[in-house]
Amino acid sequence: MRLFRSEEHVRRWSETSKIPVGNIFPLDALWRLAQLWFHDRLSPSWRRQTIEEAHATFEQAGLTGTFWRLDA
Amino acid sequence: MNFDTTVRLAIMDSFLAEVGPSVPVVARMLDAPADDVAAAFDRLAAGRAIVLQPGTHDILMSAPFAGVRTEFSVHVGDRWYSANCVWDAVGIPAMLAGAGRRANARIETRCADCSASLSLDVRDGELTAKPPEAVAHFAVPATRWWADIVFT
Repeated sequence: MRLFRSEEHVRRWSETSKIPVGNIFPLDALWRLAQLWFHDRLSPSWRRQTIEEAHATFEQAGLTGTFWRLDA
Repeated sequence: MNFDTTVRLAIMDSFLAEVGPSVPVVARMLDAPADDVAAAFDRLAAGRAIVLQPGTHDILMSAPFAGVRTEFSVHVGDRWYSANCVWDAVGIPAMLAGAGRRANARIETRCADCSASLSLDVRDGELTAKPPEAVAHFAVPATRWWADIVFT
């Protein structure tokens, strides 16, 4: 996952690299995703999320659709 | 707390202290036999808690930390960390805030298209500064993340 100056730069990069555009999302969603995903990483009780838990996390961050499905 | 969890947390503590967490480093931290620590590294990698360089016990990733220098630098206090991607980069202050630790950070990277410098600031648990039109882009759908985790 990388950062771009704007959506226009994502599309230009895609044309140059021949890598299809995947999912573009705002930085507020990125920050929310990071908070939900990493908040407990230093806890002894941390474990990898189940697929269902990961889907719930993505949805809470506003990231929906088949791109964010681990079982698609 | 089981041994693998102890090793995982020692790996994270080592990254936080800017000390590369190798098997000998963690064995010294825990006063544990190196063979036991190496076996724990293998189990943690099998469970995808860490990613090892193929055929070694060198840590490539222990998210959100990168075991190698990357283009995602995270400045917290007087320390610099490398992250695996922009998600992990903002994940470092998010992780610290979740643990009740200092969470102010500056993330520095470059636009993947034009290489312009881009920075983000996290203050008191909030994303407080960002380039106005900047966006995150994920090229790989979730179902394929682990097919090539380094590219992902």
